[in-house]
Amino acid sequence: MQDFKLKPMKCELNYLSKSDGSAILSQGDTVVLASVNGPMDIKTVNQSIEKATLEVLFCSKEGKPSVADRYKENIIRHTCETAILGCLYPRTGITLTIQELENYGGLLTCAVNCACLALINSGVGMRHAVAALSCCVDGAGELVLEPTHAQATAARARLHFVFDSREKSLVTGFTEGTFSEGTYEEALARCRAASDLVFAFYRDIVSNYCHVI
Amino acid sequence: MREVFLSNCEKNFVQKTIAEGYRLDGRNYNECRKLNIAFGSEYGSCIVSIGETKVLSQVSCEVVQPKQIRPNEGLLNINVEISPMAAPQFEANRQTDLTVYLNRLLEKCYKDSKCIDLESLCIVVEEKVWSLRVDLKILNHDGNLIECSSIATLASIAHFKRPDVTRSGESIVIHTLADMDPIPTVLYHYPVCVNFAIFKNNILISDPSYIEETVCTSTSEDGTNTGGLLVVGMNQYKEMCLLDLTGAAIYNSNIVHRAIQSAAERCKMVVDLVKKDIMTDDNLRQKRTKINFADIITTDHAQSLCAKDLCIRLKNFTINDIEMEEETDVSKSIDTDDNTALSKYDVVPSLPQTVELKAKKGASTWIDISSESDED
Amino acid sequence: MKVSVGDVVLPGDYCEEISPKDEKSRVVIGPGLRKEVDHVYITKAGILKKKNPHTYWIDSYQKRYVPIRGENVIGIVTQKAGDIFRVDIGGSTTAALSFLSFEGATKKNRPELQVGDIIYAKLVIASKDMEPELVCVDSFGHKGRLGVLNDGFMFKCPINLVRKILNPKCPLLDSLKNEWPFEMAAGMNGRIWIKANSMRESIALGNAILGAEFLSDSDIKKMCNNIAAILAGHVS
Repeated sequence: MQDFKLKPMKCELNYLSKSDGSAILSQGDTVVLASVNGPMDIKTVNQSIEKATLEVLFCSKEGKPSVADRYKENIIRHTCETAILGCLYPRTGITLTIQELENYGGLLTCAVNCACLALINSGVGMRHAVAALSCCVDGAGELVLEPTHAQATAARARLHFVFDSREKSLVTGFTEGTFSEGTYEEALARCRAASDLVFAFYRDIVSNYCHVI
Repeated sequence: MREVFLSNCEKNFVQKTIAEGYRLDGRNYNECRKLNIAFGSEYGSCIVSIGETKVLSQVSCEVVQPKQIRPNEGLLNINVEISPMAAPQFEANRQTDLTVYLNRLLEKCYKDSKCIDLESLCIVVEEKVWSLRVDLKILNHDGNLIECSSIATLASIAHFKRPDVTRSGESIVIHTLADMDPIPTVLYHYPVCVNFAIFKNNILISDPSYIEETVCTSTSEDGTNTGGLLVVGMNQYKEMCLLDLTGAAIYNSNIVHRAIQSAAERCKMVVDLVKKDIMTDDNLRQKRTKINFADIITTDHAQSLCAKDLCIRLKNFTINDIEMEEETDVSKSIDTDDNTALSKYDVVPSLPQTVELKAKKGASTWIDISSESDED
Repeated sequence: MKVSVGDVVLPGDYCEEISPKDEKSRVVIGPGLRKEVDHVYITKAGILKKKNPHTYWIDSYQKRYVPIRGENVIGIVTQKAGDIFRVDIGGSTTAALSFLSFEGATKKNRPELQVGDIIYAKLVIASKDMEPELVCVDSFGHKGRLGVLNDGFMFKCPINLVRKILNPKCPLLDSLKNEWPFEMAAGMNGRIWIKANSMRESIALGNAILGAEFLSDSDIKKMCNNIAAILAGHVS
């Protein structure tokens, strides 16, 4: 576990006073702000009689909404849907809004972690917490955990994994570029081991405030 | 937009406190909440907060063809977005009246006041000009969005620098930031919108909070309109560039005059702060200090809200004198916070290996506190 | 991760302590805990608490209210529809309050409630699948402390703060009640109604309640003294 070094993480919960739960998280130079509202009333068309509907909105810093934003929204929605105990809140909606503040690589993993922290802060019932990590294969075929922006753009392949906190099983995985099966296995194993650090960080953040509430 | 309900008691209480000379958060009538500007790593990005109201602003630029009627002028677009992040009542991807209103006010204040030298944004007449786009994201809506987003717009435009361009014959080269120092935007003057809430007896309140805004814009019981919002746009030379009247301000010129006087001071103060902050930021950047939004994350307290002003506060109350001791106490007081059990459920083992939840019959164990027990 | 009582817990942790020792013993699990096939899992972040013999729950931070049966809440009347009032209690849907569930109410003798009034009521039906229902009487038909709250001021706060100040061990109300007279109703939906003789006293009360959120017990006492001093004008 000591072998892994993640980018320095800094987090503040309840950054926004009007949201039900919010978190601002920085991983290295990448900064993301997330807010959770709900469970609350939503339009009848979107209601599901079995579980809460999760709406995810990803706002980039500048320019018009793009397809890339929709792609990120989808990944975050699928990841968080498995984490939330939606069956506790049927016919309601939970809105998750994510705002990019700084992007220096690893934006999506930072967004997933920030979303998880915001959900934790909001007190929505959750099956498990999630931790996202990324890995890249550089030109020489070596694996780099939590690459910097420059490393990630130069890399041959980028692999991103999201793990749950129960059995460290894989929740979401997405890759870009080419790599061998063995590399994939190794990257998965490394990220899985490193996810402990992320969960430990979550616990630290929660323990900051929960003794005095 | 979902409806937000305002109860009569909140309305009456706020009106009464203001009539008596207090405000809920302990401020004076003309006192503003704390204004803070934080810059991001890129040019033209900042988060401005007034109290708990927070707005993110980012300026970006691209090269476009100019409009035919003004072939030698660049373009400026202001785009306000209110996502559910601002407050739960807002819906995603939906324009509300508030968005349109804010957008229009800011356009009036920054586009129509001609504070930006648009001609300097021209590269080739009739062919290529810079188009500036200001993206405003409302992060937290706790009243006085107008003033906050206007300061955000001003700060980000003044902070923004566009890439340098050189022409050699027919070809135009846009240099990267590393190649050549970028050029700041030319501003003739710095206009700021200042927002006032009007209450009964022509009381004028600067920097209204969310509840003050909702109370003063709601119609009173007898149907007469004694409240309303008043927006004054003014630059540092005390020149007005915008006036937006609603409610009582329309009938009473006296209020408007008072507001303008008070706005002049506020504008001067805000513009000085914006200029000073940009200067310090510039100095830091020249020393190659890393500036990043990560700087606004502070970790010395339990949660972000606890270190900030309370929304209900006495005039002289400060949390500082107790906070000092709190930091040392947190580590020790782990076990002191012992809640009583709230046994709202009985778990009945109906079958071996399973349990089921049954709500306890009768009243809950929550404690009722009401007048009888508390009035000594 | 395996946790035990008193630990800081995250969703997805499990506690092996929580299991019936034999078939006859009963275990009570409260908010934030959920029984699944193999273990009792934690669903909210906070601290795992236990009360002997077998009651467990999680103390967590929460702002949004999810209706729970039997809790007393403060709601705003938003609509009169037929013979029910629609009341906003901060949950995902509005709650229903019948005209008849007031003390002494009959078909002819209807309670006088206006849209925008606030009421203190008890939740009798609160299921995730149904609209919550409120009453302003107890099972004997008396209103007790429930009913319309006149004047005063209502503000919102996190739900854990309401739990904290209602805890008999919390010194906040004990310290305040000797300083100046006031009335207060705490709704479990994160709304607190306060009323005192003057506006200034009401604001001081609101200040004390909100200020107590992240303070330990001894600091709360200090803060109350501080506020009382300001109110009495000793501190300028």
